[in-house]
Amino acid sequence: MKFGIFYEHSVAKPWSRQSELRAYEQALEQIELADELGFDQVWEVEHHFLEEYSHSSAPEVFLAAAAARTKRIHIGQGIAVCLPPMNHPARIAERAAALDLISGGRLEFGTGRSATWTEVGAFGIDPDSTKEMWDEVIRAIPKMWTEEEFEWHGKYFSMPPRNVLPKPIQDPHPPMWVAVSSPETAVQAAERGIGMLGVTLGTPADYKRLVADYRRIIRHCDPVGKFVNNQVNAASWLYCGEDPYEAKAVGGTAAFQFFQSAAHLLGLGGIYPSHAYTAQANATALLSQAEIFSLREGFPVGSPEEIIENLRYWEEVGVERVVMLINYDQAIPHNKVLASLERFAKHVMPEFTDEKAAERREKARTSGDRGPEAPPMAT
Amino acid sequence: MPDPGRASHESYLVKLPAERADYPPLPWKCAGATMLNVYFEVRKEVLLDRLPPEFCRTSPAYCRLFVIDHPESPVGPFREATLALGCRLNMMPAAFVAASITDNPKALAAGIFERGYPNTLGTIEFESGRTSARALIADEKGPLVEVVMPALQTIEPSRLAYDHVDAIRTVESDGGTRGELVITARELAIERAAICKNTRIEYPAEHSRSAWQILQCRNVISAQLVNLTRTFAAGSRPQ
Repeated sequence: MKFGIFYEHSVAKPWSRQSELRAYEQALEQIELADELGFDQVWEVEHHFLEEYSHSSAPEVFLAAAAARTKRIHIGQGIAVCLPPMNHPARIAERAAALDLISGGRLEFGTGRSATWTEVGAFGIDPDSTKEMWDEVIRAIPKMWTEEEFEWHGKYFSMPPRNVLPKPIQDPHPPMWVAVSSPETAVQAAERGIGMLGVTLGTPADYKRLVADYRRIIRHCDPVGKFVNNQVNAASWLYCGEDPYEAKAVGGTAAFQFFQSAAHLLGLGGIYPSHAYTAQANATALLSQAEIFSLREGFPVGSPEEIIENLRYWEEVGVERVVMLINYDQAIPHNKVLASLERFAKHVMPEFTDEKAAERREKARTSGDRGPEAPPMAT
Repeated sequence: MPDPGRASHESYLVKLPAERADYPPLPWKCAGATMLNVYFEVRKEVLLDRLPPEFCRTSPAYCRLFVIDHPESPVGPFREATLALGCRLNMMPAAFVAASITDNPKALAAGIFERGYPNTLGTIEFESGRTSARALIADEKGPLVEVVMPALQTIEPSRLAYDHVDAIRTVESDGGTRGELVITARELAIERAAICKNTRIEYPAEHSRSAWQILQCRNVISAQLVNLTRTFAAGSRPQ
């Protein structure tokens, strides 16, 4: 199993001129450390106008800085918003390819379409059309990366023949993903042969059905890119504490503040009846404070030993990667975030090497022990 | 972090009628009702000025305006218009009543005594057909707001869900009055629904001190016309 970190660039009020700068600088320092410690990926969201929750509207710029400071860690656009009124598809392809060059071929290209009225409404986009827009754009971008004369006449954008430049360094192109927060999108990811980038902060139980559907359907996919990216990346929280009590006090509080912030966003599901938004993207944000502090199983907030146990649930569900939020603004002091990453790398990561995973599978096979049962599906 | 409202409960007190009006006991089941519902963005500062501190605003701030035409009820036909502030209560979606009007004195009395809204007498024009709908809301000073839905498209009713509506109910207390927060929920059984993507909200005459116009629409989010059975029930204290 591989581990990554991800950033929303939350900036809580009260704000000063330094607040956003501090968030960006601390994130870059954390990414440098994560790279040295052996974390596999760093992802950054694209959001617009989401006060406090996310000040991350130009992820390519930030990720270029991250790429320049690191050597191995994969650079994840998580995601590029694939809605032509917001980002012209050629500009998405150009910026992603430039990021792939700057990072030396480390780009993981995530796609998506926004889930808040704040963003979609600001650009005058009809929410009913976003799924179709995304579908058109993700079919065009691999062609832009691989064809010298790209031409497109679609429902949502058109282009005369042009050579979209630069081309990515990865051959044929970077791995493609889509942000998944509903069972429908998990199926659509599989049908298109792209990776499932879970964006709902949930537990293994929340992902179990999504992963099963994805694995079943992707075997018969019609890939939109030049290859199939059959991988599942789950999202969760991480705070690896000194002991269980410190971990829950520090990490649990930060997680609660994040969920609280998310709960006050205006998701499309509640106020815009649309066939394109059948699931509430922010459903996890509506967990109660009591639930957060009880830190349901599979939530990697705890002591190293607790986290190892929790991550085994993820392993059993069949995800290859877990990518984790590591702070909400300054809720966890920067030095504690760095210490958490170090503890995780020292005590937890070694338990999830390919060899250790194979040993566990073999032991389970011979003993009939299926390991810890995942908790029941959330309702 | 959450941005709580700053309106006192006292700011929502209304004058109780001298005698408790004679109205049938609640709940009233009102079949054949039609609701025009529209969500729109408003300025956050004016919303926070009218939102009690139990509630927090969303980002962006928004309102829900709904007009219900009841052709039949235990008090005869009546119409009701409500302007509610979109908000969160304990992180969950809610709507808080900032202003409300009805054209029926018995519905008004039941609203004031039992549920906090409707609490003002006025007039409501309401027209709805297969392809369009319109409502014009007025109080004693004249027309306040008009909602026009020029082109309706039928949708699957299961796509719609409406949050509970909360209001301040004026109650007698120690020789005076005080406000208490009450919730009305699960009042709407939706039978048919349509959406309108080019809804207009207009202000036909200026009433700059009226909540209906202070909470002015900055951007329409979505609008629906719904056929339903409405249960007009007493409000309950939040758990």
